[in-house]
Amino acid sequence: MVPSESHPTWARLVKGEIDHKFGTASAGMLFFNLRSKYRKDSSSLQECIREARTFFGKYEHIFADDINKLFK
Amino acid sequence: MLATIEDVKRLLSEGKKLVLAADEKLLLSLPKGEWIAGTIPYFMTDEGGKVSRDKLFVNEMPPFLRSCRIGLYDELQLPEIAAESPDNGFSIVILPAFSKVHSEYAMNAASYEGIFLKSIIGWVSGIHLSDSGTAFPQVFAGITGESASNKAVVMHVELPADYRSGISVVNIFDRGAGDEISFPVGGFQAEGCFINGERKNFHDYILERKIDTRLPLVADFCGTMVNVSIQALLEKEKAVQFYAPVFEGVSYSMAEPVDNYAAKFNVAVSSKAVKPAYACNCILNFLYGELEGKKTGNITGPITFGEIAYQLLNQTMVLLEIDKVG
Repeated sequence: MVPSESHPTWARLVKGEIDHKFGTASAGMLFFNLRSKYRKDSSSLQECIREARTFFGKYEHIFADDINKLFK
Repeated sequence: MLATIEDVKRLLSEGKKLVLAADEKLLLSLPKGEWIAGTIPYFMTDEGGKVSRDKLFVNEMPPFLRSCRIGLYDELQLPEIAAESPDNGFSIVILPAFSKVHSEYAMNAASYEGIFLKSIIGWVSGIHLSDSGTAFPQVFAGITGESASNKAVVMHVELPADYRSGISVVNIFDRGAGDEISFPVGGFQAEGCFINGERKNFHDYILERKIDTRLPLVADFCGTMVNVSIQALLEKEKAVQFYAPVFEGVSYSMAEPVDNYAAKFNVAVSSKAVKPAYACNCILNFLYGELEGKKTGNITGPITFGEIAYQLLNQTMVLLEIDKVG
């Protein structure tokens, strides 16, 4: 189950406060780009969180371990 | 697989959907059909790296696909690629090297809405290196018979619900332990840079440190190593030209040297039990790693002027895998 957008880990992930290494190129690139977007415009935080959650929602079967580790 | 022009014509007459890579004159002689192509005469084959102007590299799309759409995109239409890519399936993109679509995609693809939610793979078409100045990279949309040097061609393939696609990147380079390098301005060319936070000219830095320019700059994208390869040192401009853009503020390091490219690739792809549905590798790996005649695991495909796994990459191998689920 992918946690809701209000879970504080999403914001910490987007802000780069959690240094998590993803095992797939798509996740690594996505979060790298979300962090760049947030750095340029901090008002984009919710939009970035939504994007990240949508991504994990679509690929939950691939990222189950990452989700368990990050949102424990 | 490498095939003759007669083989390819036969496959097309059988209604096969093909992604091709070959010298321009071969592609010009093909009939209309459900195929896309880019120009390149360098290939990874079952016998190893090979240069051929009289054979085509053929990737047949899976017979179980649900639908297949082909389109040409100019630089204004490029962001639509992600939106038009199927939710369950993949899109193969070919960009002509040194074109506006190449630079637009390189600079902005990562910000196309939903790009990481789709499986977008592809490559940058090129030319035989001895044809520099006389030939130009092209792409072809077989459905209309059009070719272009200023548009991207894309094949969007939708898969049935019981199949899934996934993209992986094989990068034999890792960040070296040397200086941290960043750039105040992004782009395909750099003059100024910061070396461990100190302002320098990047061209002079490379010469002073006698840096091997066959090694790429490497950045860590949250666990994925992303390379930027050096194309040329421009003495007059005191600038460095790249095959992909560097991005402002990103922390790069020069890569650790690699002794044996073929061995590194063999190890990296040895875990792939099934041959990927699509793959390509960078021409710089072919040249610097002297891969002509050498195999890179069981991986075959075109050798290209740039690779696409979502965004533009350099000096990597990219793979598309399709799995049956359930």
